[in-house]
Amino acid sequence: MSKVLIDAVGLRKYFPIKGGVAGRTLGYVYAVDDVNVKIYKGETVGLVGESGCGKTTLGRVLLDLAEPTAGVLFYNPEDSVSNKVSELYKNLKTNKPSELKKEEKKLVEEAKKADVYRNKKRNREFRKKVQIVFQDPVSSLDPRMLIKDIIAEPIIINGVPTEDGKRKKIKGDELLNYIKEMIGEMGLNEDHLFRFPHEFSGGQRQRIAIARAISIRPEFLVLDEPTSALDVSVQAQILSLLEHLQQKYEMTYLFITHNLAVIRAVSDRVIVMYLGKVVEVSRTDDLFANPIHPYTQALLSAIPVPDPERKRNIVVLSGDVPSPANPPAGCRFHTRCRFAEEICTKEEPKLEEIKEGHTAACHFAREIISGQKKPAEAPKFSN
Amino acid sequence: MEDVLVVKNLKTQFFIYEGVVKALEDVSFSVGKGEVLGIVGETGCGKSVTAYSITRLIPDPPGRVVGGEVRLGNLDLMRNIKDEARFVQKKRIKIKHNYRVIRNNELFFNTIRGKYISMIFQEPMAALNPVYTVEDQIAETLLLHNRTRLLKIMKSASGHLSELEKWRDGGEIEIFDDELGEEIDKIKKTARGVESIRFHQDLLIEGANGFSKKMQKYEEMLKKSIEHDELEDRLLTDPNPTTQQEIIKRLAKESKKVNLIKMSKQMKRNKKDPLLIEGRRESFSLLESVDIPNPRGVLKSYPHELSGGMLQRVTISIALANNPKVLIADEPTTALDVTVQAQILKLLRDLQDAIGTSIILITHDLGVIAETCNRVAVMYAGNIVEMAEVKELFRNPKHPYTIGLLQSIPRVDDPNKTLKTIPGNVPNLINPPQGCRFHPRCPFVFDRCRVEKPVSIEVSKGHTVECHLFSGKVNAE
Ligand SMILES: Nc1ncnc2c1ncn2[C@@H]1O[C@H](COP(=O)(O)OP(=O)(O)O)[C@@H](O)[C@H]1O
Ligand SMILES: Nc1ncnc2c1ncn2[C@@H]1O[C@H](COP(=O)(O)OP(=O)(O)O)[C@@H](O)[C@H]1O
Ligand code: SF4
Ligand code: SF4
Ligand SMILES: [Mg+2]
Ligand SMILES: [Mg+2]
Repeated sequence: MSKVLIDAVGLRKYFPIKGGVAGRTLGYVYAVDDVNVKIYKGETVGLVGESGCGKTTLGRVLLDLAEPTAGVLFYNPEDSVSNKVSELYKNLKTNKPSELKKEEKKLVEEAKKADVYRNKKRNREFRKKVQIVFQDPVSSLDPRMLIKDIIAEPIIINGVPTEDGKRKKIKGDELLNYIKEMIGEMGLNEDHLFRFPHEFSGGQRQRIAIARAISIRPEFLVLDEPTSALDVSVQAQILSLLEHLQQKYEMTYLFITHNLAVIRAVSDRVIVMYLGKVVEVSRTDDLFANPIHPYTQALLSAIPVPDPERKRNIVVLSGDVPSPANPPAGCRFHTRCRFAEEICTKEEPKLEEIKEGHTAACHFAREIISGQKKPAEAPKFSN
Repeated sequence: MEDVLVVKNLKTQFFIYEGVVKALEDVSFSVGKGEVLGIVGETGCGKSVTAYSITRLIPDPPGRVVGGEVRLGNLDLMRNIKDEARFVQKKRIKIKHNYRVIRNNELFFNTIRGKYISMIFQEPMAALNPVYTVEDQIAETLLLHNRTRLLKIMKSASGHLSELEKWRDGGEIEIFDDELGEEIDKIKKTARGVESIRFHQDLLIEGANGFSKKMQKYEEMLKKSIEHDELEDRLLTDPNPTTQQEIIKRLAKESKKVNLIKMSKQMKRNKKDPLLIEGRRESFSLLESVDIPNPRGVLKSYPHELSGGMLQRVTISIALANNPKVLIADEPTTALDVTVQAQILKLLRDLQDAIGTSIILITHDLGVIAETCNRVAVMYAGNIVEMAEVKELFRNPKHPYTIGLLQSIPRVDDPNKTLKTIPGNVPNLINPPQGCRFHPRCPFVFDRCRVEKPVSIEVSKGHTVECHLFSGKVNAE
């Protein structure tokens, strides 16, 4: 397998809920709660889950665009370091940073040196190598800036990589020529550089946003629902553009979307989230052919297939997703799971490798895939 | 199959500063009884404008239905649309409205909408009023469109007075006030076979005599209300335009008398209005019918307190409260997650099986179409370019646009599919392409396409295509 590019361990992001007279913290939204993510060089990892499950937050925390509540992030790590710290975090018992034991805190300290979040120098390097593209090409482009300036901005700040692996700042004609080349690659033309964002269609704006993101030649690109606001015919254009760019510039993608058909088309591996937790990680083909986690099974079964002659067996989930401010104890899916048993309400299932290259967090994963455990008519513990 | 709604040559335009947006060029289709017709197409192709034109919700200005027919039963909803406005060609086109005709038509459409044709929207919030509880909103629609139903319930309740009194005297029902929630549960439990009994506090408090006076008033109302309903139904069944016109006049006169808007205002002021109370109670059973868990809690909530899926269930319950002939659902699941979408689509199918309403389901998602619809109309730039039974369309797409669309969707069931793209963008509808509006993007374009608009051709039974490739004069191969 190729080399690890991103190794994030024990990521947590809790948003405080303020209220009351003095703006006290009344509780937390557990948007991302103890998540480990490994991303390998050159691959496309799909991150999927329903709205509010924490995809965007995870993407932002991974790029250090949002400060994590806890966790460490290694970029291009030496294997030994990340393994050691991974072990530590796997064995942590608590969710609350304040409850970390003393020796645990100590180990966390040790990780600091390699940690992108804490080591300033590493952080600076990291920021030049990662970029993000957002869903909404309208609000992510400054309406008062010319396209040329929009694309130039990150280049002026970060420079561009040179042959010898360093970076250099460019300006003037060199910068303009560089931008012209970029925009051509995006399927737009030079005239477009001297216009404003509102003069473009949704698909064109997304091309501009992509041009801006890859202008500094990032190694790692987070795409947060990049085609969700677009029509299918335009979506197909953008997806093929992204594929082309990835090959040409050897980028690694984290592709966030709620659209499972898109996930299947673009990604090598998939991470499935539910209520702030990763519930399943697998190679794409295996995930779609043999989903393990009951939530993934329901999610996959719910996708409408554009083939009227194919009758599917839809697992219709009952009720709504619970609030991430007050997630169910034990397995967070237990209120809607038709396989749930007593233990699911008490003990949180760990993410375990169930078969090669396929991990899931479910107490009954093995029984479910072997067919030994049958679903009940309705969830036992719904309330 | 009997056609419930027939749309012919519908043409809608928007008269804006930049020019005339020719949003619908020439749209024709029909919906059969109990059928789900899908309308699919990309953003801006005119799906919503089609829905709004049928229900007359096109904002005017700038929009106008400028021609066409919409037949609901025997009645053409657009029969006098031409009298509503004249167009004066100056430097730009000016519209001269005839407000008297417009106002009368508006009154008339208040009857049609919500009673015979209902709509649900992508954003359920848009259909709900943020400052009223769900309960009050459902009660209000019932009161506006289905007084007969409420009055009948009240009447039947009075027949059970003696039973109610017995329960009360036996201590089985204790307190009576407006918030009858738990009491109803108790009664349901004790009353076994008579779950359907509805009642209101006046009945028990005032006793049979006091109540009978009131009931007289309500029976009077019930009689009128039934007459009114019959009149409205005749409007759709009577084939004679002159009689139709007379009925419309009579209905207009009546609805001016009963002034619905004033009534609903009064209703909100007088929370104790028995009809309103009855409407509130009825809203409980409506919510139960759309599988809402904890209906009582939901009834007391304000829209912003509910999730998108829950809200959409509420709007569906309101839309179907009056068993409309046609339900138009404009992207009802687009804003929802797939698992919630699955819930809502299942609900729509189940309800349709139960009450037989015809549904026009508008979506940009071919997957939703494949799973939910009997027939599909594919729209492009203000025209229906292809229409067929759903299986036929997916198996045997004919129009170059339909083919392109099908090839551009990623398939969760077919990972190896290579996505094809349709080059270019949807055209600007102020200056749409001449001839076939798809011609600048069409891989099969030939000379005729650039000058002549293709007409609808039936390529096989029930499968029509608007494309010159199929007009016979040119060999399609
Ligand atoms: N800045 C914020 N402040 C408070 N809560 C937030 C913030 N951003 C996201 N959340 C909450 O965190 C949860 C996860 O949100 P998000 O990561 O945006 O989910 P997704 O991208 O999967 O839809 C949601 O409940 C959301 O309301
Ligand atoms: N209020 C309006 N003013 C001007 N043009 C409008 C208005 N509403 C819709 N249109 C135009 O009508 C066309 C069809 O729009 P619509 O029916 O909303 O498309 P969709 O298929 O996405 O529902 C679009 O080109 C749109 O620009
Ligand atoms: S079986 Fe238990 S652990 Fe597995 S998903 Fe269901 S509730 Fe969670
Ligand atoms: S009429 Fe001509 S341009 Fe239009 S779809 Fe058919 S072949 Fe293409
Ligand atoms: Mg998001
Ligand atoms: Mg629309």
